[in-house]
Amino acid sequence: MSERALIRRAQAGDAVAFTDLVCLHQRGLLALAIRLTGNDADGEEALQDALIIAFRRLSTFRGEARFSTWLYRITVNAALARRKRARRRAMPSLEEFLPQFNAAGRHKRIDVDLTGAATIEGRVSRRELRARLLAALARLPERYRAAVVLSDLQELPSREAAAILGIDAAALRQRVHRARLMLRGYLDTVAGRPR
Amino acid sequence: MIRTLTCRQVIAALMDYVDDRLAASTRRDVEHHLKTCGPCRDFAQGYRATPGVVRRATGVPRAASSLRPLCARALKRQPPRS
Repeated sequence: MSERALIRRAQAGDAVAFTDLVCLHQRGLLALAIRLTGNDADGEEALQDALIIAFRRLSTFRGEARFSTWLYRITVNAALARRKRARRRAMPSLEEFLPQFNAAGRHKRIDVDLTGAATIEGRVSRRELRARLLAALARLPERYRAAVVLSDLQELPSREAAAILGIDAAALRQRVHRARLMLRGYLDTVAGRPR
Repeated sequence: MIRTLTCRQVIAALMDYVDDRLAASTRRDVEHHLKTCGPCRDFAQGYRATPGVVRRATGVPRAASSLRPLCARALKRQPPRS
């Protein structure tokens, strides 16, 4: 059955059609929710919240945007809301890993290995890297986290990622760049080999 | 003519450089800096690698990706439609 037909049936209250519809996007949705909340359990809970909201609001979906864009937007909002509720203790922001420069505009620290991100996969186990990076994503300020997750990790086209966040393409690029800088710096320290 | 850029300027332009969105003259300036500045070269290498590393590390295993049980739980929490 086509996506459009599934949408019509789901809008009429058909739960099976709704499930089929969601399953068309399942890997992306689950990965999105986990990456935004920082762990598997919260990700699943957030996605469940999002699906409840989506089913309730399905009648308001008019097809102006793609269905996946509409569903992703709901999932982003649900995941960020759950992340806020679940925050048990303040974690230091990843902003400490932004590059630092001296007054002349040169790198301040050149005593660390700046290529950590490029070599880390051979140095740290996959399991450890996954746990560390999910935790690191959760430490990104919210606006940067959502931007980099949609754009770099979910690999959505810029226009779609920007539409989901309600910002323009230039703002999206700025946020993604800043998030990459923080994650890159964080990976240097995980690889952690002072010269 | 090559313009001398600082490391700060190069890092600020890195996303546009990686995505090939810089004007040709600015691209030349950035490339010149990268040829002569080891820290920026290393930094750029890590910057390029970062999205792929994070994407691969934080993906969902295929076996764990079925949303049917989760969807069923969500729909159970739904009040019946009047």
